[in-house]
Amino acid sequence: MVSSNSVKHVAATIVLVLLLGAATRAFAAEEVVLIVSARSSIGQLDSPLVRRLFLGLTVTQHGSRLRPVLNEADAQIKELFLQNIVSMSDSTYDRYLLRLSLQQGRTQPTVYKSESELIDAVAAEPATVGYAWMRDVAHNPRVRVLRVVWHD
Amino acid sequence: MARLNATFSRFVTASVVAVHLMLLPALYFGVGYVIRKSHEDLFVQHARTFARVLADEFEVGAALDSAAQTSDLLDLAIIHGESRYAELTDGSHSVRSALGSPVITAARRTDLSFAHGGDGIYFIVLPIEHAGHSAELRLGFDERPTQQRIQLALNRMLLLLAAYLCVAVMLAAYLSSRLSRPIRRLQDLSRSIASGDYERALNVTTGIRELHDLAADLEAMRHELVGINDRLQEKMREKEISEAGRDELQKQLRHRQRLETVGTLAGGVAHEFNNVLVPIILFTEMAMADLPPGSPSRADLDRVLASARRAKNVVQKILTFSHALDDAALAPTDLRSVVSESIALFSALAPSSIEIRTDIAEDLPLVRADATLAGDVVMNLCTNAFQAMHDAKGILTVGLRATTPGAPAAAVPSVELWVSDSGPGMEQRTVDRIFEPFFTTRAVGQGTGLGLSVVHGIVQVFGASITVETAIGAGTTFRIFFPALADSSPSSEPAV
Repeated sequence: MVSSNSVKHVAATIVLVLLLGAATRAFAAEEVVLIVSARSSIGQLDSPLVRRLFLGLTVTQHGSRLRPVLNEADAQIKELFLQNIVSMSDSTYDRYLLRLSLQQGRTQPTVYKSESELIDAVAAEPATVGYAWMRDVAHNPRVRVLRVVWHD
Repeated sequence: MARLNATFSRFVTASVVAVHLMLLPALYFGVGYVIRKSHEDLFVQHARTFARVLADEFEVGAALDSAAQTSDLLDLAIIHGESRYAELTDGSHSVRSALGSPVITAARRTDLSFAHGGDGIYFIVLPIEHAGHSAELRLGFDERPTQQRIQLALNRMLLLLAAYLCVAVMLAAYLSSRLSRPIRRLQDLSRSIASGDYERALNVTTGIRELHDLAADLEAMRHELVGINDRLQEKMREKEISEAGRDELQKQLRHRQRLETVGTLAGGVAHEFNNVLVPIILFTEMAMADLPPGSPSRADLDRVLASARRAKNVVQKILTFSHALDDAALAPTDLRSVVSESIALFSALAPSSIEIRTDIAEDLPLVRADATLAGDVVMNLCTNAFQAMHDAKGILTVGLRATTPGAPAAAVPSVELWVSDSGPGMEQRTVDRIFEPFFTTRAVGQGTGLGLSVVHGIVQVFGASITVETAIGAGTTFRIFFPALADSSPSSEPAV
């Protein structure tokens, strides 16, 4: 009888902890972070370097050229990227990328409409740099957070 | 059934207005959207670039090393940019430009699109890393100038579209009026033709091919219509003339039949009466021969004989009228001498109040006639003319001429004898009976009414024709047309 009550107590505690954890996560501050593969050797990138990278300019580290990928899984993260990383409006950035490819022949960054696909692409390629919501990558062992780009 | 109360001009104008009222709002909202997005994008781009440059300055420069430099840099953001709020905070300490708007008391979350906050301020919050120290740059940009520029552009576009609508409507009204002008002219001309005015040509000057072709087709139809109308009128005229000629012929035929009937009757009576008169005259003459000279009965028998002879003369005239002229000696005759002799005889008998004129042409062809009877004709016509003038002053004209073939009253070459007077003329009902025996307009006892009927009978014997032209107050003219003998001339021994 005692053991039965103990099991119930433990189960209730676990449920409470899970609910609290979920609530804590729900009410946690939103953050957009820069991510790379967990296998990547890429070190810290300051904001001018990050901006150069996503403006299509050549950025190398440890002899390898970094490759940026764009996250357009939702409109908010896209606008946060435009405002905090490249500091451009949507149309200006589109025109910039178009001019970059047409005039200089450079390859435009790959665009992902799904965050899981973007995380898979980043995890698979050590030289790839992307950005995502912190809540989506915090517990993902395949990717590593480089820095916080924006926080609420 | 379609309503017919809209003119072409009104229809085109209304259509233009309707089309523009449908298209212009779409154009306004479409272009307005582009203008709005363009201005908003420009504003966002400007704000983000400015914020980034300032953030880079804080990260890379040495402004964060001194509070005064930090404040100066934030002030410059207010002075040289469109920002209304500038603050740098690391959580525990905060530096804010004093030049910013005092209304904005605290920065809020970053705005991700134009007018996102709804307070007219576009906030940008950028994290800054400097020498291992984290901070936040908070900038607020005034959205109202951009909103005003957008509204101004929209208002201008609205005015422009309204002006365009007015011009379009006026232009449509003008063009539709110009288009409908030749159509209205065609309509007027068509109505004129429909009302019977075929002479108005369908001359419509227009540069529109369809209207030009339509006008040309209608003009061709009008030409055809005019031709048909002319032919129809000509046929109607010919028919009227034909009917008039037929009526005249029927009238002449009836008149001739009546005269023949009367003549036959009169001839029969005259013949029987002549049979009675012959023994009277014969036995009266025999009785007078048997009487001794100085017999008182001689005077009585003379009166009987005179009356009988007068009666025989009347009978002779009746027989003449009824063509019973078996002893007529028809031979080539020169009518000039006949007329001259008759005029000379009549002049001696006519009163001096009557002026006798002659109009006798030279080189007249001979005709087939009896000279004595022809003289009787002239004398009878002259006597009739003299009596028509009521013994008063007047002019009597006797003429002869050759008529040309095709003349109205003579279809063959003829010699025309005419006798005209300046008398009072005759009414038509008198003319209709003028050749009837014993018809006279004179008082009883003043005429036998046989003169013109005898003329008619003699003319019939000659194979000639006689016509009368008269009008009240304009005198009377008798015309007799003698068929001319072929290859004849007065010198070919005429029987006068």
